[in-house]
Amino acid sequence: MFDNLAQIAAALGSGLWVTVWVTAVSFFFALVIGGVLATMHVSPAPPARWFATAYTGLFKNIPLLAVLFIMYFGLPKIGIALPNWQWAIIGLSTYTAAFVGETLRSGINSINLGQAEAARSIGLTFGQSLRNVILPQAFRTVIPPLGSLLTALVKNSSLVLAIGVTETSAMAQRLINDTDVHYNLWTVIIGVALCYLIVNLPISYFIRRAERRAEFAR
Amino acid sequence: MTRIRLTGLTKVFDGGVTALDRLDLTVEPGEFFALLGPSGCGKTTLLRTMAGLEQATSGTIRFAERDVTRVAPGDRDVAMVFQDYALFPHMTVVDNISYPLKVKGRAKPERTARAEEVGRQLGLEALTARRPSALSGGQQQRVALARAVACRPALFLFDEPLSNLDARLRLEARGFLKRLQRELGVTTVFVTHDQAEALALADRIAVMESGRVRQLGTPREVFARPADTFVANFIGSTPMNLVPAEVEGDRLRVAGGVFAAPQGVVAGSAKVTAGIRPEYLRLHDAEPTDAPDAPTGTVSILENLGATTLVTVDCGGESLSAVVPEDAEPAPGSRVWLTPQPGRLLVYDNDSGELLPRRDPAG
Repeated sequence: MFDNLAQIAAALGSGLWVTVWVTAVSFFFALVIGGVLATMHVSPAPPARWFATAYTGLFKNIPLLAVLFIMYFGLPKIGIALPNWQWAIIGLSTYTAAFVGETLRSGINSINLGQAEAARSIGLTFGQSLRNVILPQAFRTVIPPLGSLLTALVKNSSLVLAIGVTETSAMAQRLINDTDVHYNLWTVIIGVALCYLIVNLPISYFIRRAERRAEFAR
Repeated sequence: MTRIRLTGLTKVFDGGVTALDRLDLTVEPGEFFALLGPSGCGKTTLLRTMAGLEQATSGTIRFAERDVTRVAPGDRDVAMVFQDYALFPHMTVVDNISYPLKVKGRAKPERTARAEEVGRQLGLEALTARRPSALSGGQQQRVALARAVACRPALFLFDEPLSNLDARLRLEARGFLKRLQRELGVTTVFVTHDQAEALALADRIAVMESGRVRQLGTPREVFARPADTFVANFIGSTPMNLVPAEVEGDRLRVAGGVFAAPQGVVAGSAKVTAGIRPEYLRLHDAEPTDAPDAPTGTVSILENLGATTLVTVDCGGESLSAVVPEDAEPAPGSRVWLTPQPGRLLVYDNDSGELLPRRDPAG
């Protein structure tokens, strides 16, 4: 069981690095796109609300794997050619953005309407009131659900192995399928589980701390 | 100081509900003005329309001579205090107070100086670094006031400013609010459903119902001479006696007895409603010689009001209430006679509910 431990660790380690940076970059874009979607959701302009509703409805209701396949196999047919890892980031971030948008929107809706009215009555525009009054408060209430989305994204990122990005799970698959060296199946599987735990446990810890601090600061 | 002039102000909500119905109203410069009425009467909508948070369907709003009907809330030079204060929970007290100035583009030293000055004025100097969640209800209310005061607006609009405070604190805050308004001399409109609060604070009161003003007057006028039975019912901590009556010449037949009819009430309006506040009814333990045939009955209920007692008298089918001093209560079951204090008896038309005789507009 402990044969070739060093090779397994090295292979999974290099995959884990890909998992981490693909997740981080995707989450960053998901936050940006999700922020735009949430703003559109609460915007006074109907077309913005329609677009946000359509986007969210689409990405929330199709599987991530389908999103990745449509982008990776579909979009090059209309002339958009990008490397695999870029498709992975685009797929993961557009998909996660739908959930981030919903989370931020519920955070905004959790803020008393009186706050927006107070902001309006002292002369803030829609954008200023969102930026300076509503979002700073909404952000506190959405730290825990955003944390859950991040941990889910870490795990979801394993699906990008299907479009040829060699992150942790793809590395594991490669090890298992290696017919020259017989790697122990269970060592690899447990190793993969450990890899995701190493990333997600600290995330959960920091989210809990941030949540507590936001509570005190309220 | 700014005069508010509303003409033909109408607000119809999307669902078709008419909240304000062709309302005309003038608030004089420096006045402390109450909008009083039961829930749904349109008082809050009126305040929010003045603030610009609601758009008037028709009619105009003028502050001084400036038409602000279509002006954005931030450009009306008004400061509103909300019922739940709407303090910004992510900002400290001093940031809350100075934030409107920041929005108006004032420099930081000026903002801070003004916020600290207003904070001192309102007794908040020890709390400036705290966040709203670390304040009591009364302190939060004062921060909300400070935020409004720091803007130095032309008008204050207060939405139920005291309703979120407990009873004792409310009395304290009432005195504070009145003193502050006097000191600043800024025209102030406030909404309340509490008639005692309106009577205590306001220079003038508009009693509203169904989007219209039922009566406009000083607290004394509104209390002593309600313009109709709605206002009569609404104003006063002890409910006004409103009983069916008949005019017979210069006499008014009420509750099995007779009162002298108020001057100018003529027999043409035979069936009427007599109205008299319990505070203005006198009790006699023998038939008064100057008022023979005064209504009489037996004392049925005594309610202790502190320094006074509310006495309910059964007068053969009708009951009348009178307020007496604490050491002058009649015994329950004893027979008493009732007479109104001079000039306090009111007569209302049964159909329109309006006070009789109608005042001649020219007079």
